[in-house]
Amino acid sequence: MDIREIISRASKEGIKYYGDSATLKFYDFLKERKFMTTKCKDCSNIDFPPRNFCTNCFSENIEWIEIPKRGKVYAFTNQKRALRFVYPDIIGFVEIEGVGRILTKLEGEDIKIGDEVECDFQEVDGITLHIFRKMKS
Amino acid sequence: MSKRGRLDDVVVIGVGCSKFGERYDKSYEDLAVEAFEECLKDAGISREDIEAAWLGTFFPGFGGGMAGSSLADAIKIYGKPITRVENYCATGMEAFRNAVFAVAAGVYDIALALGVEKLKDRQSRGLPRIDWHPLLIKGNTAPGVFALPAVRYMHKYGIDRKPLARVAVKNHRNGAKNPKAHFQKTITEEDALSAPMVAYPFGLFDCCPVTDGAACALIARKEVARELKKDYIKILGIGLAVTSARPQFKPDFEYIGFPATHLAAEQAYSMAGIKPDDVDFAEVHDCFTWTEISNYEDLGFAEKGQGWKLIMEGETEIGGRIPVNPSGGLKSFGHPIGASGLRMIYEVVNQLRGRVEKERQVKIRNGIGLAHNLGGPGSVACVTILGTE
Repeated sequence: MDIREIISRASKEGIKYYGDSATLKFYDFLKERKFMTTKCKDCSNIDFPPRNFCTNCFSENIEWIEIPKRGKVYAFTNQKRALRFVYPDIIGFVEIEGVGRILTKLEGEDIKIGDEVECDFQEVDGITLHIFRKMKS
Repeated sequence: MSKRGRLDDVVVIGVGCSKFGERYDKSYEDLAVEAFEECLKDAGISREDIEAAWLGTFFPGFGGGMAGSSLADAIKIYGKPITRVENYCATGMEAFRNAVFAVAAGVYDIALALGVEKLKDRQSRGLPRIDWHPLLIKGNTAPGVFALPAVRYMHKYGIDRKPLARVAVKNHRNGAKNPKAHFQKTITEEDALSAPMVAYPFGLFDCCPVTDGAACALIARKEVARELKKDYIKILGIGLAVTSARPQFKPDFEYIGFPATHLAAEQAYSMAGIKPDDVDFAEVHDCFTWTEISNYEDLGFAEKGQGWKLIMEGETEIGGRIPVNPSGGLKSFGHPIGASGLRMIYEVVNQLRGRVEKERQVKIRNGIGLAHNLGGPGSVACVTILGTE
C-alpha cells in the first residue's frame, strides 16, 4: 500500500475515534455544511474546538453557535513537503471577530497576513472538512 | 533568589556524546554505549558507582526506548532505579533535571542522565506526523508548527528571510569545526536563501536534520567530585515551564515567540541569582532558524522584536558578545530528540572546562553557560545554567 494511502486512512480513523462526542458532533454539523462550536451560557466563553463543557469555568451549561464565515488571515505557511497532502498545502490561523483564531486549511493565490477569507466546505474521502478560501477583492 | 534545595551540593562530574549523524551501522543500544563510555571515562568512576539513572527517549521503538530496561541492558546496570522520561523535544534536559534533583534531594551520591534516539531508520520522513486532535493538528509537520509564528514575527517586525539564513550560516560554520556534528560543511547565505522550500518561510537550510545520536552526563554530590579530584561543573539553576500546546485561541497570545522559554529562563535565572547579561554563551534549541532568533529574545539576550539584529550584527558568533550554539546547534550538530538536551549540557560543560576544539572555544568571562531545550509547539521549555567553581 502506498504511504499516502496509509496516512489518509489513519487520518480518517483519527477523526472517527478521537472519542469525544463534541468533536463528532462538529463533524456531523460539517456534513450539513454548518461551521459550529460551543459557547458557555454562564460565562460566555467560546471554545474551539467545541467541548461538552466550558474550559474556562467548567460549566456544562453550553450551547452550540454558528461561527461567522468570514475572517482575516493572522498567520499562514505553505508546506511544500508535507507527505500527507498534495501541494500546495496552505494552513494558517484565521482571526474571526468575536470568536478567536482558528487553525484551518487555506486556499488561494498569494495568501498574505490580513487577507480576507471565507469558510467553505470540502468533501474528502467521505468526510466533510472546513476550508477558508481567499475572497476576490 | 528562589528555592534551591541542596543544589549547591550537586555538580556534573562527567559528560559523553556519540558521533551524531546517519548511524545506520549502530543500534539504539550501541549509541547509548558510545556516549556512556566517554562519560564514564571522563568522570573517572566505574559503572557500579552509579546509583540511579534517567533515560530520555522521545520515540520508543527500533531497538529500545520504552522503559528503564532499555538503558539497563545497554550499559549493563541492573537492580538500580532507572526511569525513562519524555517531554517532547525537551526530553534530554528533562532526564538531566530529574537526575540533578534526585542528587540534590540527598538520596543518591551519583546519578546518570542519558538521552538516546535512533530516528534515521524510521520510514517516510523520519519523524511521525504530528496528529493529535483533528482540529488542532497545527501544521501536521514540525516545520509547519514553527513556520506559523515565524511568518507572524516577520510580518510584525518587517524582516525578510535574510536573518534566518544568517543563523543557518553561523551554525553550519560552527558545526564545520566540530568533529561530532552531523553536518560539517559551511554554507553561504545564498545557499540558504535559494534552497528548496520546506514550509514557508523555512527552506531546507532553515530546518534541523533528522539525526541518530546519544549524549549523557554524570551528576554527583560535590564531596564525591572533590574526592575524585574532578574539574567539576556546578549547576546554578534549572527551570522547566509548560504552557498550552494550543495557545492560538487565546486572544492575547501574539504568536511571535514562546512564553514557555521565557518562564523557564526566569526560573533558572532566579535560582542561579543571575541576569541574562551574566551568561557568557548559550546552547539553544534552534530546531528552525527563526526559533533561534526567538530564543535570543525569550532568554533575555535581546528585547522582543530585536533578536534578529543580534544575528545580523554578529553578536552571537563565537567571537561575539553572546556566542550562541558554538557546537553548531541542532541545525548542524543534529537533533536526535531525546539526546539533544544532554548534548547541549555536554557542550556547555566542555566549553566551561576549555575542552573543545580551539577554533570553537568561546571566551569565558564569568564562567557561566546556559543550555535551552524547547519541545512541542513551543509548549515545553527547559533551561539549565551551569558554572565553574
